[in-house]
Amino acid sequence: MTILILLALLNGGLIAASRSINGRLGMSIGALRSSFWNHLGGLFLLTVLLAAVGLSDLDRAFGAPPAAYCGGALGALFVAMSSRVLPRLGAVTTLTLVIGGQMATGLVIDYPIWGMPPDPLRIAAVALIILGAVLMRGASRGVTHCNSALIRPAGRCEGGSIRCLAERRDRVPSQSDMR
Amino acid sequence: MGRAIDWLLASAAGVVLAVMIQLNSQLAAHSSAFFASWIAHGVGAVVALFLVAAASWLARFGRDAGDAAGPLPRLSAPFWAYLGGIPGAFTVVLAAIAVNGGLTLSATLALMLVGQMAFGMAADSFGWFGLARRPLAARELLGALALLAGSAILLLRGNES
Repeated sequence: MTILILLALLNGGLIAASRSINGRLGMSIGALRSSFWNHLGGLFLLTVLLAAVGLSDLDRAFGAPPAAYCGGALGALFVAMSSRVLPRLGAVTTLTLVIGGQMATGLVIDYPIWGMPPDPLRIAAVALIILGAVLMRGASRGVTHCNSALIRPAGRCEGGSIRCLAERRDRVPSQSDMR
Repeated sequence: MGRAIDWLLASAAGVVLAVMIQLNSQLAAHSSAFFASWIAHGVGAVVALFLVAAASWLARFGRDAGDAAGPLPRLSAPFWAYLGGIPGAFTVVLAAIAVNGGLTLSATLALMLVGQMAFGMAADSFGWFGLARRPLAARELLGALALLAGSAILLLRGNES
């Protein structure tokens, strides 16, 4: 189990890295186009990897329920949803709601799948997690879809630097929400 | 009223994320983690393309959709900005391995959050991505503790079954 824990932690780092990179692209071409290039790049890499390793048991894959093939669609959908909401609600609110929705869903799904009811202790655990994320909101880059609003640093903006352009661009009422 | 919709949308986005990981992991259980990631990225690319088209179409009518914080004018992207798919490809793989390996979805999500926050903390401390270096506040360390405590509970509860 320790290995799995480490893999999950590492995965968090990869996710944050991926979102930060995509966020930089999003500053230039917008979040949706950035998402497309992200998926395409991953598809290309995976095609090479799968071609090299080879596919065995492919007919097993046809036994999967059709819904299982729809995960990719949800990923693209998430980017659209969060990039719409983030400038309107601000980073902290978005972070809280996304994490809340995510963890609550995890609790609900784990009930039938792992036989673990969402008892008070697990609910308290989720509350702790949400609280922790909110307290750490300054480090929340790469948690929600990273657009420039999260990459933007605190401090003064100088001239034509990327930070400055982002600040001018992101001047919406919810700016006060951000760290 | 519009606010309420945004709140719902943000919460729904979190739901979408959790369901996505569950579904991808399910596909991986029926095939392999890499195959599931491959399918997910292929399907995702097509849907993303569709969303780009839909947003452009809506924009023609003056409706704002999806790309609300739009691109910055005349800001070109460095080549590395297109490489997000490289770590991204492995995120589906690792999540599937963890979830299917017996870590529950809740515990996996929690640990992934810890990893994401750790990355953010490091980026702040060391000044990555052109960020201003920023020392960590006590509040954030407290937050890290809360995050770890919650994750531990979800993990240890999982072991009882």
